Amino acid sequence: MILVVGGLADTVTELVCSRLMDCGYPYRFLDLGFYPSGYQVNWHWQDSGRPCGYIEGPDWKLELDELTGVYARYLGEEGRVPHSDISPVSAPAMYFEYDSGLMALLEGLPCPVVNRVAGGMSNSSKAYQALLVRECGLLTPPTLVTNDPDAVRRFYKDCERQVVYKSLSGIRSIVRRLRPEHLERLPLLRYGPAQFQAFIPGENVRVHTVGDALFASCVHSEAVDYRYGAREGHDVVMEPAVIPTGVERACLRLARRLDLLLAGIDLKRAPDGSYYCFEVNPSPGFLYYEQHTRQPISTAVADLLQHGLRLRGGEETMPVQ
Amino acid sequence: MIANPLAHPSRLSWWLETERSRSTLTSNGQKPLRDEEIDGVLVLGAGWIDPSGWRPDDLTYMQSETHAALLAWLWSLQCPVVNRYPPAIWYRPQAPLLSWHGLLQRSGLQTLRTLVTNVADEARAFGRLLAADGPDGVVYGALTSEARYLVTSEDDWRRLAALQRVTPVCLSAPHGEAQRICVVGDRVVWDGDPAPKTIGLEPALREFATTAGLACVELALAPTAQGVCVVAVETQPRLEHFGDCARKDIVGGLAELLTAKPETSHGRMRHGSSESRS
Repeated sequence: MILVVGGLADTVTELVCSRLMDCGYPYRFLDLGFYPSGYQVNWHWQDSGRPCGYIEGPDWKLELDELTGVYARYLGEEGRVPHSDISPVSAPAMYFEYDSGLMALLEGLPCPVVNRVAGGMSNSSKAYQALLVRECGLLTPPTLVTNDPDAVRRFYKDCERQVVYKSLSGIRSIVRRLRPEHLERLPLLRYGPAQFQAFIPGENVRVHTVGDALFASCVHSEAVDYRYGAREGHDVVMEPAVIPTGVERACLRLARRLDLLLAGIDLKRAPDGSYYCFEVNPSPGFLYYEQHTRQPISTAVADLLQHGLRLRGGEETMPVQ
Repeated sequence: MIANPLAHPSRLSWWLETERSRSTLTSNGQKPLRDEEIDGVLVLGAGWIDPSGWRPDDLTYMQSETHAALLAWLWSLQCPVVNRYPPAIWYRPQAPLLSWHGLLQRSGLQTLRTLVTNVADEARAFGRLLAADGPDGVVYGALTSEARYLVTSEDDWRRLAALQRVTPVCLSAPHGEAQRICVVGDRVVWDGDPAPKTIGLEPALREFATTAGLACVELALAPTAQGVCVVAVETQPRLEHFGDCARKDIVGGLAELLTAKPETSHGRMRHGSSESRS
């Protein structure tokens, strides 16, 4: 049995549920929008360190040892309906408490979990990910992380004024070109750091890894950050892409290194054919790419949740932890 | 001592490319320090920002940026860093003890019998189970705070049931007085003399610290009806939790770690990968 943890208003979670239905894979849905209202939960930890117990929904009961896979996509406050006995002021603390319990449970389950929260933590530091990216055999663009305005000016000059800036964390994560008029604001860096990167021209390639499967999409757009291309009046066109085997392997290595069964990896194919990696998203909104390229990403997720992780070239199911 | 290397008056610049990484750190008007000139780093915080004058959302953003930059820079250094926190710990230093259960048990350490439930009858049954071979009562503690409450009387149980109507509760077995331990490198420093039953746990304690990717970690052990259990894990050990003798040993251990030969980059990243806690 598969457990989906999330909110039905979230289109990616909705897609996973509908794909599970299409595939005929039985699943139970724990609606985080209302949880814990309407649910009974009860679990303890065995001597093996594994949790044991059950989750009971409106018309179903699921023993944890029946689970073949879990898909989890946590919700922000806006997706929650507060319990009638909880004041709005206390609600965020309660959501944190609910999620902490679920996260501890999912961390300890022996079945595949897409994704465990620990694996996704690296996405809160894109510069940390860049270190892993290098180790896994992908290129990382020349990058400067600093709170020193003079260092930025030198970097800007060294990169022939072809520089982008973006957040280091997952907050306000929009990529922008560094323009001459922005240099006046550099003294504000004294309050905290920013990340600057040499602008890499070329084609954006989004890779989704699902266990050992890989789906690459080429994104054609004139926007610096194609995710926000429409806002800037740019068209975004996507198509399935084929990437070199070495890059595929490096992407799979990176996802496994981060303990991510599902990952969205942002690459750029430079004019010389080399591939640069920018970041790894542990909770990718793959619906957008699936709709544009018709690649069966959600089917691969459904298969992974039902059958576990299959090693390439073999039928053996690999233990996840 | 630098409160935050990425805020005025300090300046940190870190250049990262596919083939190399280098950085310079300037603090208090001193000569810039290149990364290869740093022999060791003791991490006592994640980069503090004075909240005064900030809008809450901007402060959150600046803290996130600072934490992200500092985590990565620490991982880029070739010198010993204590602790070179894996992201899962860096971003959740106060994670509930529950999140350590798996790793503790796989390391050979016992954990408290624990139940998470919003079913009143299950909570009562758990209480009866514990009472069968130990003292009466269960300990309730929220996962996101350190407060703990002993539930023994009928009134306690009624209030617990009321709480369960709005949230699952985390219940665990009561335990005796805890003893603090700090694993620092290969040393296991006990606050006071270890009991004969607990001294044999030293290899497991070292194993836990190593697997967690922590060169220095504080734990608390306590007797329970089922034996000696880990009742706390502190990823940012605090000297004030220990007596004078133990403090000296911990500081000695830290000095050893900070002056040790640098690790290889490959070994570091592998050691600290994000799966450590699960």
